Amino acid sequence: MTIWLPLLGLVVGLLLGSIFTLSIPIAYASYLAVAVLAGLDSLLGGWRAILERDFDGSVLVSGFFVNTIIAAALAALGDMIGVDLYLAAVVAFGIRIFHNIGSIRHLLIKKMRAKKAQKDKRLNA
Amino acid sequence: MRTNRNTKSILWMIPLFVVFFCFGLLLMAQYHTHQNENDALVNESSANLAMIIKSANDNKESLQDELALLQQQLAESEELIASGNSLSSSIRNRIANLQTVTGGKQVTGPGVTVTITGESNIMYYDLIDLVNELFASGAEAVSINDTRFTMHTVISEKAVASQSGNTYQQEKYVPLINGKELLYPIVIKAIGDPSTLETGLTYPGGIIESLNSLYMVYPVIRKAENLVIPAAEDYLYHYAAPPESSEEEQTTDTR
Repeated sequence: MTIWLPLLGLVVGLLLGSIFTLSIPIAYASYLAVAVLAGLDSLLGGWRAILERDFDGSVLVSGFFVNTIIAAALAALGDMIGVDLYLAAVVAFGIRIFHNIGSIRHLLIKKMRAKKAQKDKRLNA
Repeated sequence: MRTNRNTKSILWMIPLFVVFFCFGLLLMAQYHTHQNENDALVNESSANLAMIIKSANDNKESLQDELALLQQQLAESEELIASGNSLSSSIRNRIANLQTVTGGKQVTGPGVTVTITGESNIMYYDLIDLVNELFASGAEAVSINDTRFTMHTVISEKAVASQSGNTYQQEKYVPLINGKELLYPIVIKAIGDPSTLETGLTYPGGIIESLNSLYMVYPVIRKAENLVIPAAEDYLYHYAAPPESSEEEQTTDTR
């Protein structure tokens, strides 16, 4: 049951975001995009940590906020100094996201296999 | 033990909830921003831009048509207003004309003066004839001794005892205008074409000749360039009033 609580949070967030049609000036759109990528990366990292039984709420929350803010700030800095740090952030977070998803996939498969092995063991016994 | 685990798991979920919630907000913000960005012209493809330009042009054309229509309406309205102005100015002109006819206003213009001195033996009907002849010759305004001659002007006479020491009470008739005695010299002013007015009086067999020959009255006629004929006193109507219902009819008639 409790597994739905974070998803409920996501749904509530999406609903509120669409009800109040949050948007920022187009000039800052790329910063927000990088921030969203960072947030997604943090979420996936959190999921992986759960699967690895290494989850820490403070690490997740701090990571989420710090990563999003730093990502946006880096993109802004890049704009200021004329270096596309925005792209670097996109690439970095993209790689991390794929990495996290891969880890999650591996962990899930491992978990499923373990479960299956346990089941087979029980049946054999 | 179990409740403990449950509460623990709920506590464990709170950061996740917060993060998911914030992520949802971020995602929606980015979504809307991206939508806005998509709506921006910079990000449109050239085909879309062409479409947008075309629709904008169509819109512009229809708006121009509307503008032309509205400008036409404006011009029509202005014309209406202007015609209203000309209507009121024509009414004003008409009122001014009527005032020259009725003697409501002082008038100036060229004309003739007819001066009759005291020793002449003029009678009131001679004055009437003179005024009549002046009007017949095209006089537009006439005054006698600075009394404007209007349709309410009455020329009459009254008999006064002559000042002579004669035992016979000789009566002398003095002409009156509106009941007031006319003092000599009697000056008749008439505004109109001076030469026409003069000829109207002095043609052979005309009024001056008959006055000269029959009554020994020798009026002096002088052309004048700039005569001033004063306004008549207001006449108060007590009985005659225009019928209210036919007022509209009259205005349409005057048009």
